[in-house]
Amino acid sequence: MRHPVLKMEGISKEFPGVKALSDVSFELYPGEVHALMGENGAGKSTLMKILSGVYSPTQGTIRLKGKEVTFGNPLDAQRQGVSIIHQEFNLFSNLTAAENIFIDRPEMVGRFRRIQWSKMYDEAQRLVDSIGGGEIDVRQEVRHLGVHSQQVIEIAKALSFQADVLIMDEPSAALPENEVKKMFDVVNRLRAQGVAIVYVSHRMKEIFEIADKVTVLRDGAKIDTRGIEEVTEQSLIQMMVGKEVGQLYPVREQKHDQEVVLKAEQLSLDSAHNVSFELRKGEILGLFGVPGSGTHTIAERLFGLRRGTGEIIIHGTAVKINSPSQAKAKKIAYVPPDRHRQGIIKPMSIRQNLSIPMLPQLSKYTVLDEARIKEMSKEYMEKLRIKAPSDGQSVDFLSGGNQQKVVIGKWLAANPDILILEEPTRGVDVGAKAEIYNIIHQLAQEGLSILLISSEMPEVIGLSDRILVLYKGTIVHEFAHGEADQEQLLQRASHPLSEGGCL
Amino acid sequence: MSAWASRFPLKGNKLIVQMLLLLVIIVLFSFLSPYFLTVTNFMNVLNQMVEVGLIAIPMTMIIISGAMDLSVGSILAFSAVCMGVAYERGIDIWISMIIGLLAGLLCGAVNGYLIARHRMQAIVVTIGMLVMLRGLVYVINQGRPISGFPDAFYFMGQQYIGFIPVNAIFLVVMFLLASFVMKKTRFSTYVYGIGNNEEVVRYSGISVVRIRFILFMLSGLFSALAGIFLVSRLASAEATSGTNIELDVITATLIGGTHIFGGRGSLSGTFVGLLIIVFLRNGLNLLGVSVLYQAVILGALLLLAVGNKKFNGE
Repeated sequence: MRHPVLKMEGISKEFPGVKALSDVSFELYPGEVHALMGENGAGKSTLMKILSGVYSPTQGTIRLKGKEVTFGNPLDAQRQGVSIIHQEFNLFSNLTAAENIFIDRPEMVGRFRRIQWSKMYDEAQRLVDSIGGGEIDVRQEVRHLGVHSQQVIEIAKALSFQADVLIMDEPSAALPENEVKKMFDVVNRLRAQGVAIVYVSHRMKEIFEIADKVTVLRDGAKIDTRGIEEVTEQSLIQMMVGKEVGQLYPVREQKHDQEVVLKAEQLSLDSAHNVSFELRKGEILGLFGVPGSGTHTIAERLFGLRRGTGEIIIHGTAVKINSPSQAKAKKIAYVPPDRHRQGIIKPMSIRQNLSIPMLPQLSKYTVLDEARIKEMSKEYMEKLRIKAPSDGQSVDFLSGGNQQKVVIGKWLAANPDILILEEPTRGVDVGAKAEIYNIIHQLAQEGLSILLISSEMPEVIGLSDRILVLYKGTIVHEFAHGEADQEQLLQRASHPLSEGGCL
Repeated sequence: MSAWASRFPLKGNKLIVQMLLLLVIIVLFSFLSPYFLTVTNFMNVLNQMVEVGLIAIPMTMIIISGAMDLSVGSILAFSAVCMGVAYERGIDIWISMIIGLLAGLLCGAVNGYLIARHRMQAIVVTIGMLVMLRGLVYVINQGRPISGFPDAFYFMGQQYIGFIPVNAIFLVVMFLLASFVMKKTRFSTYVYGIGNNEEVVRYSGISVVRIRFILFMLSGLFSALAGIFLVSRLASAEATSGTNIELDVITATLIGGTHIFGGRGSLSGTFVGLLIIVFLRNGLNLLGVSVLYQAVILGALLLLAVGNKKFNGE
């Protein structure tokens, strides 16, 4: 009987107000590829952050090769044999591959603090060769290397620490299709060398191709660990999704034969290919796909942040939208996915944030009409129930939910016909979520046409009148109201060729 | 003392701290030099600060927006020499003046086009313009000073209304106007917004390109204005005019509490910062301190003022 290289027992992690993980246990054996799956927010990333030394657990123990360990920080974890490769690579593009592998390592420094270049290059080349990266010249600067080669460098760096455990976070997300195979070759070599690999991914197909075991997390708890031969795609999804969608979502009345407000025809640009759809008055149209499927690209195209081919037709007339200001003029509003970077100006007041898109209408000869601005901000603070002592407060001090309401509010004030919502409840607590869902529902009742893009399946299913599923930039399926459940949705979005959706 | 300090925390009272510093400088030099605290001297100081002051207006706005314009001194000289050459060719002085202003606007437009439209780094672009325009100034006029302007033109830089210099009145009016713009108009919200988070302004459907372009046009225009006032005051347009003026302008802006990375700052602060450096210079001059030591003292003041977190109200 082999002994586990890693044993996590009873791990819990609490953040102020949230329990991210409760009593999770996880075992990892040498030479196995162990897939970790779960929906967004299930606790995968928290567990991996604990394992790689970013967080320390509130409760529970980690045993590495039988010895109990604690990690002070990621470097500490790396030295003790646990390395993580993030979705976004952490490489210095202006340094050589070898320098990246051995950066800040005393063993490469010789007498008089000189770097032992030849030793470093030899050692780096040996590591890279050992995982099948023979075609990579480690003397090359990283920026000249392709994505796959960069990933190999990351893995080599992890191995240079004598890694026993390697965590790969969505390793295929950054890779083009033809390079995924090469990555699997690398993973197979590592497995043969006895490295234990945690493979975090949303992509079903890959899990079945590469993993030996799979552990599913849901709502911060472990559901089960099983051998890959014991599960099917269906049963995995069932485990990930669990219970049915609750009362978070308002009941939507179906209206038919409403006029078409927005028509997208053959929209194409980088990840999106010939995307066509219609959005009707008062409708909530869900757009769902895994990261990289093109949903974000479509939103950016519609709001004029990016240009591409194809036609956008609003109220029957083809329009050109080449900038956000043109989109605004056509009464399109966009609540972007990252509110900190794209939604709010933190040091500025709620009032200023709410009024920014509408300032041309709220000023005379460019002089601000303070009275009307105050009136407007009061109106939207009440309408959206933004909780703050006054509208003069800086948005920095608001909770995530209230900040998100400010972002929605600033666009409602602009009185749009079409509202694009992308990840409208990211980083928002459950109470505020329900409020935001109610607001979205209310707005659609009032005749606003809404395009809802979200990676949270329950949200898309609970709110949308229709759902379009994107896979690799094309629409592969349309669900009518009430037709979709999470299993089918995930299946269509991750593996459209299987006919499992008809089961 | 500590009770007093806690009752009037420095936090948020940046302007008061700056005014106190100004007061200390004025009181100090009043004791050190008998000539310092006289109306004549004060008016002299005001008369001489106009060029730096005019340029400090758009500079404050640009720094608030998170950028920088280092080409102002060269634009000043370029506009001044353009005006001088036009006048020498027999063009009416007022039309020559407009030519000078247009030259400044053009330079600002080039800066703005490259920085706003092509998203080039403001520092790089304006250093390029600084070097290029200064060279061009020498090329246009072979480095020869131009003088002999009509008396009516000297009114702007040398005349007094009552006992106040005309150009100082103009500067104060400009500051009041700009202050109004930076407090009460939507332009100001955009400028502060861009300085804090450019992406959000863009995602709000506002053309960041246009705002940035306007800012650099303003900078060109005000640099040209400063050039014309300088020629009027010194009665001569020279190729060396305005050399290193950008350092004075930026020093005044930073001492005035504008944040070098943008997002925060005010014109009233800049005005006080301006007074601080001109009175300090003037006082040191009266004491016979060499220009070289003055530079040392000014530099040290900048380090103290901007490096000191208390002074910055942080």
